[in-house]
Amino acid sequence: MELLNIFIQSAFIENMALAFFLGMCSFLAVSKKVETAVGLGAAVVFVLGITTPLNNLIYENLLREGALSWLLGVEKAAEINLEFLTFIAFIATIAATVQIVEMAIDKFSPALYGALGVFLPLIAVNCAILGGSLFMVQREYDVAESTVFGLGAGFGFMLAIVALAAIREKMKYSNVPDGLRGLGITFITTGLMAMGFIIFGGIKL
Amino acid sequence: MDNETKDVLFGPVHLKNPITLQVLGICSALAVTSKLETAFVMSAALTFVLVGSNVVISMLRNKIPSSIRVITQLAIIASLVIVADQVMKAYLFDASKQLSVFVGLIITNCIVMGRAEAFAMANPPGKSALDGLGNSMGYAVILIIVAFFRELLGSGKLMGAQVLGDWYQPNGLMVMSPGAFFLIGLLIWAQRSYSPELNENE
Amino acid sequence: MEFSNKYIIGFALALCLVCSLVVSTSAVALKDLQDANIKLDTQIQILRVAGLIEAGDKPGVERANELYTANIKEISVETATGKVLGLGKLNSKTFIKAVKSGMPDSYTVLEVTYAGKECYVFLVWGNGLWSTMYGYIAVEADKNTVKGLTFYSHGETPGLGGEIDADYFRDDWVGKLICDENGVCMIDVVKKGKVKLPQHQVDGISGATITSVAVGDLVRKWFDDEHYGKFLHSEAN
Repeated sequence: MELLNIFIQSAFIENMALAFFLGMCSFLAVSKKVETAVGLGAAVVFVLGITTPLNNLIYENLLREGALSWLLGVEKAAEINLEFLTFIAFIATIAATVQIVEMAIDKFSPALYGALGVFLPLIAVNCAILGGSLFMVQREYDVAESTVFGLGAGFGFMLAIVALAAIREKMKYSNVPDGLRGLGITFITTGLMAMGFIIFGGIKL
Repeated sequence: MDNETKDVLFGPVHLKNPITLQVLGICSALAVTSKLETAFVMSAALTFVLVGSNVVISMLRNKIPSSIRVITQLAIIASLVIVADQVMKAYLFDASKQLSVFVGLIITNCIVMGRAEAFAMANPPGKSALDGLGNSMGYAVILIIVAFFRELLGSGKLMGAQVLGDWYQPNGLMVMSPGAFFLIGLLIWAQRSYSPELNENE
Repeated sequence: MEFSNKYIIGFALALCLVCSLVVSTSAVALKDLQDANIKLDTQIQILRVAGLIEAGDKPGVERANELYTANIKEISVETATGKVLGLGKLNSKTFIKAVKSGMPDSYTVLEVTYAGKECYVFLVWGNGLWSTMYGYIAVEADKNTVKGLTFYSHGETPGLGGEIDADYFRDDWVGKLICDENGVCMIDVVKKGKVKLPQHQVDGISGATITSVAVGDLVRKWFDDEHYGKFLHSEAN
């Protein structure tokens, strides 16, 4: 069950937020309330689940060295290597997907749209999303594996951010020193959560 | 320098620091601060991209249709980063080897995108350039402080040179990311104790 | 501000055009310089791991080329038997690409002919935490003692996995024996403090478990019989 392994690995063992520390900005800023955290998490799952396989198709069929041979069919085409356009091509897909998600959220839930604020378009630059696509390239997944990986990674991120939001909501009733209140204690809590996730490091399914 | 310019340029160093107050640029603050040298190179690269993108986006701000706003900003930022990467590989080969994959991640550095949205889209190029410079300085300050402690306590070295003698047992936690989290948390505490008006009221 | 659809499309096209021109121009214009940098770096890495230049030495383009062409012979080896077939040419790019579809029938090994420093240098690579790590491993003329390991390209975390470039990690590989008396491949990277066979095992890097394990895995993979193993076990030429 290779696909199931990839899902579990990307959701828990190699959690995007707590093991690789990707997507930190939204992770720390949007985790004040469980409701908004769930909203952002769902958006991330959706974006990752779409962009990872899409970028896989783009990379395999357009960018890789020799990938263009199907299009031009000529000898020379096998030498064309457009890998230096990887970043910009991936980001373009991600940005387009995020723009669509932004319009959808604005239409169906203006309250969530307002709550997410500047961090909704920032999903486009969420390093977790680009990171997901870059890992997919490095590990040479195919389309099915990319989809599962994207969904798993998104799910893991959502779990992490909801967990942090739950902790922060509870902490509102604690006596945190003035200077640490809010962002400061969040950093320290995340550090502790990260230490917890280090136990997963090195587990190979 | 008039007050407004001072505010734009120096505000982000303390009172509006991108990392400790705007909550932007965290990923790289965790990833490249295990050594002082990489923190410096990363700060320099970010300055180039941030000032460049702020200026270009600001020059085009009235011409960008809002329906393709995000993609336009990203295209400009990504192009600048790719150019910076190419130049580094040609002229600063050793530095580029050190930063490797993290140069590409500047594209996703929320500071660049965040300032483009929050400032460059609504202000003229001159001021946007200053804003870029100011935020880069704020970013650099935090990066250097965190990297200083992480390298010193995590491996006993500074800029690769052994500073603490053999008596020092390197603190592994400092080299790993939880150490960075704790350090930034403590930095925030220190910063807000110094300026209590920054405290969050909940 | 309302923009007509025509404007939006026109703007988008113009943006694409300008960005791609800028990016492609810089990529193409700087390519030669970048390639020269990479070639020099590759030669220096090989010279260093073979012990022909000292650790801090940074020769210029001419001297590096001189040292390389004078002391390094590129030989072609048959994978299945480990037999030397003759002279070869090391083209890392084509080799790396070819291996993706399975180890080819022959490969190139670098034989260092400098008197007193004879050894063999092999190109190795494997997946690390963030990136693929590419490097060279040098083996003494006895084909069992490691002379050095160096990575010329990797994207591991600076300060953690990135320490594979650090002196303490590289030095630990010098003198390690690849196989034991029975010809069983024993070389490996083991968690720091858990080394049981110091003649075969290298200390891992603290806090960089995944990268350390990956380095051990890739060295063992390249020295197995499907890869360079047969050459190491064949009679010394």
